Amino acid sequence: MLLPSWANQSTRNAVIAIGAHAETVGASFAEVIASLCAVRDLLVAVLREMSRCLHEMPIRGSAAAACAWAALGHDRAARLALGPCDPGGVIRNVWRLVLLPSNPACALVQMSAQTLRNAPAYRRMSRAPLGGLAMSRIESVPQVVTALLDEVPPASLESTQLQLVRSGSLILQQSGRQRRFGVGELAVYDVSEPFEFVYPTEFSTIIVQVPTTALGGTGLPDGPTSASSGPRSVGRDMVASLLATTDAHFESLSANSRVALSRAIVDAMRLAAREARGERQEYASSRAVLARRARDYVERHASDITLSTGLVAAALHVSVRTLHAAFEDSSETLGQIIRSIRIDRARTLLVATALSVSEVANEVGYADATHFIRVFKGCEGVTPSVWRRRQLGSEGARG
Amino acid sequence: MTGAVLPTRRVSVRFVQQDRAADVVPSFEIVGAQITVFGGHSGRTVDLGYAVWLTAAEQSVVELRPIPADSGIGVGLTSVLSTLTRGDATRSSVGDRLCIAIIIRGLVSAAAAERVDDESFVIPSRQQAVVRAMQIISARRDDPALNGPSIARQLGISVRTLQAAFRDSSTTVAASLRAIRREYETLSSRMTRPPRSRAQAA
Repeated sequence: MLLPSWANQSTRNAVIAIGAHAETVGASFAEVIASLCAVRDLLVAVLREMSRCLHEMPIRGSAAAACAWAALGHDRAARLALGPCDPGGVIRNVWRLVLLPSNPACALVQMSAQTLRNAPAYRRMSRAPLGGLAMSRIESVPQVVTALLDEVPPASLESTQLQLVRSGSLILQQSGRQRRFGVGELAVYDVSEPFEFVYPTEFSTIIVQVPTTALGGTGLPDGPTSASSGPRSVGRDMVASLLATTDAHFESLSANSRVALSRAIVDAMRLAAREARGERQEYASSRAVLARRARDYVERHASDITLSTGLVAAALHVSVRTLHAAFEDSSETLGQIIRSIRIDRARTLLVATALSVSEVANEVGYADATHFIRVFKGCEGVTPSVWRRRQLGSEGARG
Repeated sequence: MTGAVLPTRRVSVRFVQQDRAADVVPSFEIVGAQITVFGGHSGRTVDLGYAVWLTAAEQSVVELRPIPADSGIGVGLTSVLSTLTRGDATRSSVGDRLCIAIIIRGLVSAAAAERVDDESFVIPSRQQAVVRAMQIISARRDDPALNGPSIARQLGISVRTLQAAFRDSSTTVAASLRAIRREYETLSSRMTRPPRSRAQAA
């Protein structure tokens, strides 16, 4: 067949591969070529990028075709089967995840993928517009996928991805956290932050990308979240169920029904964000209660020389870490509160009694008078004795 | 937005899951003021008490016949309702339950739209106009430029015809628009921060 004059060998390979795939997806070859010619510049740019990224590997026509179709967002022909390639070794290639959204607010994320076994590899990807979103289906062999965020235009708005694992499993690493997602679980993550996927076995997954602003600016829980992490979320369960259902019945749905389902997915995600925010508020509220209980305990046991954060934590049946966390929002740590309560009582004893400094120290929970004096001086700037003399002197002068 | 009146009567959604007997076709039956859902796994009943509203035209169209739970938009309704449990009626906050009701309303409304495009249903043109207009309003709920004339233009009918159709449903275009936008605000909650670029987020 006669290819356009601008087509170089790589492009020719791409066209041939697309033709083969077009046949399987029902698009006519002429339609495919016409579409391809219409986006010549884009295809050439994609191929050039492929070439740059794959300087150590020859460009595979089918990989280029996948990129081109993904970039085009073609409804039917954006399917790829890389087929057996480089069977003797680990293949390395760069692909554009077929997430390219209809909504320009979504970020395009370029990914680097490396297979995890020396065996024939395949990667099947398809993308379909879903209302203002795009739904991608990916099936492939075990691999590690890393986001190349430096390839994302800095002006791109933040986007959130929802990934439903259909088979296999996904290990998602982001923000210093690692979470594993099994079949039927939904991963939610921010694509403006670096992330990495590990698919330890053959997998099938569905990805929908949503502009974060479409979620109402509500924000997501810190780091990647899963349906199994934390309390049950109606919104998260709904998103997972809607994604699976939409994927299973996609072809039979009318255009309007697809739009309605995409809206339901976004709305359910908003609900999930609301629920997560509610959990955070509840958590904050529970921390406030714990802080109050800890303060009460310290008030009652300030004179106990064994009083410590560990003792308070044990008395309140929480870990020291949880106890410390309860004071994260307050201006003082628990240790500072203990010291403050003790020094307040010491002041009272110093002016109201004739107890010696050592006795006052013991009364307010300091076994070591020297330590008490040092702490007191740190608060008042003078030793307890000097402070007492000044207080009593001024009171005498007033009297 | 305060003081906006919902364009029509409210209907309550009652979610009933029953054993799927061989001779029972899973479907959503909408009878009077109740939307009853058949299908699912076990014989438990979950009454979430969510308030869902439809225009009179949408209500008439969805009441014509049960909505199949295993095809068309019915699969979306099934997936939404099957995620709800009895505990959600009491555990979820009022705001969260309202969000669920809004999601369900959107899908039931889309079910009405499916019928307008289905030649096996005979639906009066005015009802068709309202059902289609509600889909446009839902799809462009965040578009501040959306109004009666632009909806009429998109539908290819005159503004007067559109207004008359809504009048038949005992409501107006503006009231319906306000109601959907108010729902959108509920779903959006408050914007905690303006949209940021990737560079700003980094």
